[in-house]
Amino acid sequence: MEIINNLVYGLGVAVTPYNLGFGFIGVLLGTLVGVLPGIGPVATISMLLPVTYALSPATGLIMLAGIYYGAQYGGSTTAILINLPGESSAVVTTLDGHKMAQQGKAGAALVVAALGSLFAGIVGTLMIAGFAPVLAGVAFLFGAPEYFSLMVLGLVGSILLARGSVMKAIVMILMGILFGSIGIDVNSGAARFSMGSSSLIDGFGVAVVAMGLFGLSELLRNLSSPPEHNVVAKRVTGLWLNKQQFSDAAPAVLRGTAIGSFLGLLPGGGAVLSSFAAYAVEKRLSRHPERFGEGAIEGVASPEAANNAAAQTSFIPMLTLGIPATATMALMIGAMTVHNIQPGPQIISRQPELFWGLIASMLTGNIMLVILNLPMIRLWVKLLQVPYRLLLPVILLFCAIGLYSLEYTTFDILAALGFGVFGYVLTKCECEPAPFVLGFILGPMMEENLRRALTISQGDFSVLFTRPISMVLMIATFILLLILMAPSIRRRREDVFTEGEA
Amino acid sequence: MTGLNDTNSTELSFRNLLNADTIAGLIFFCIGGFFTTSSFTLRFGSPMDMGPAFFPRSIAIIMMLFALAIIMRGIQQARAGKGSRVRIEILSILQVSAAIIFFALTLRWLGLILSGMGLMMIAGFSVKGARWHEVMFLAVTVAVTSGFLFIYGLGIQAPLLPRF
Repeated sequence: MEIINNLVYGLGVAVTPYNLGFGFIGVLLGTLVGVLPGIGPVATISMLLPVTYALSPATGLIMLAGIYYGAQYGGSTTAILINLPGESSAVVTTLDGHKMAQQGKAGAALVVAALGSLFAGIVGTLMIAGFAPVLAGVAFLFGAPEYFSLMVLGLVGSILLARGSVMKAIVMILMGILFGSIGIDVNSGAARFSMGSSSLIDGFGVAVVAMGLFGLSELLRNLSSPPEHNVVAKRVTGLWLNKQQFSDAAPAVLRGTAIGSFLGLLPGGGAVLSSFAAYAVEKRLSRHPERFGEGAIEGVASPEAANNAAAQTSFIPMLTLGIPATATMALMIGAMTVHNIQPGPQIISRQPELFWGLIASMLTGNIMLVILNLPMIRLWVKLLQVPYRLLLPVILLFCAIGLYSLEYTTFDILAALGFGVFGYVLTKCECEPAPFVLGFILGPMMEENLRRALTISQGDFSVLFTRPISMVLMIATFILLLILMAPSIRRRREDVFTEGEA
Repeated sequence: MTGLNDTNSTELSFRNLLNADTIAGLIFFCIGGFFTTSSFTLRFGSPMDMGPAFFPRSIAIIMMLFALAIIMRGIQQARAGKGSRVRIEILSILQVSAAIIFFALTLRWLGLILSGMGLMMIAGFSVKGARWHEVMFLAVTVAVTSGFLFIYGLGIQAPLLPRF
């Protein structure tokens, strides 16, 4: 079978000591970053982008990818042990996972999270291996109108992720698009919105915006209310599942994997949405829904599987279409462009060792993570006991150095600070930063595709609705908007998100 | 449902009017306005021949319309006593800004170790429950280690020590 051949080829690339070593560093860093509050995979990947310049593209991507899904594992560990999700995709895990820890079943929760994630990771990887080449084939049918419509769909999809009002999320997207248009317009060569500043001639970098809006703004929030650490289990014993737990968790893992694999594909989808959706589905399907929130093992198994599956499959739109589904993926694209590699349908044929090597490394990475996490739990617990007041200055310093290292200009540090304060104020006004970043990344691409589409159609907007694929995408966007506006869905979004605040 | 954050009174006082929606809406309106006016120097063009201003100005105008809607909703909420209060910790903003601005301004001049120490001291003393000896110890050790790690280990181009 084609897939097996390709995977074996990829394993040949991934299992070299060099790539295994950097993969290990990636997942280790990822877990560390996932465990620590206030710093996430986006900030870390931004900081390590310069390092990947010195590595071969495959090795660099393997390491960065490891950081990404490693952080999912790390975030679940803290969610279970101290009710503090290290990553937003682990918010749902706190609901039942922490309850289980309080009931003395922390070991079981951790095991189910790790093994569920491993299973989902493997399935996700196989999905990429099987699905991506097919999608790349379809991608050749994508012209400018189709790309534009796909991006609109993705942006509207990201509203699903944002809490609070739909209108505010839409404005955040629009604002992101505007900030993304700062810089030189490729088409006309005009400098847009740079206000005469030479530092702004090229606009803001993704990493600056991401680190400011996510990293620094969270640091600001944490400064006034440092996260409380009450580690429930100083000594975690019982790292295994009994028969009952296994039979309860297994179907949940399967369902979570399916949900995550699918949702991760959608631009604007991803790990967070998948974990929420999986939890909601489990609760719905359960014969005893009142057990949820009280330590139901399915409530840990399914979301954990879902977020890991989504973390894998979210690479697909990035690798095959060149469209980033999340800020992290945009950074990955950045890492590739530095080496003059353009993600898109041709990547499979032009750089097969990069593509299949990366995919195979996800298999090895997931295995390494299970080996890392379960025995090293005690180490992570120790780390969690470091008071936040000691961590914050260190994190701040690393962020500052990382920002400087992007383009060796102190302007970037100050710009990120600006975005940090901006993000902090907006979050206090109940606006979510994620749609902004997505708009920022996709905006310029949307403009270019719209321009091309309209040039070819001689200024006729209907081209977006008459070409078949584009029409389907636009209809899907419309349906999604209707769903979002429907009052019953509005209430349910509020429910899911306020539950997550527990 | 009334929550902790609700303003809980229906008088249209200035204080109540400044709820999450109105503040956000005002910010959005101003930013949209800025982009719209800044785009006047650029050519708009037509759908067939989009100028540099076409896309941004259109987006900015749509954004301003939404912003107005959000402001109106905010006013409506204030009237019904249901707006969410916005609590911004100015002190935190000042503290983090001081630390970062210090670092940004002194990095090239004092070198990474000293400016890093400065950042960590400012930040360290800003957190609740800071202890003198912890902050200083951490500032020195982490700044020095990072200096060597980033400059020699990862090859970042920055001065390690001050130039005298």
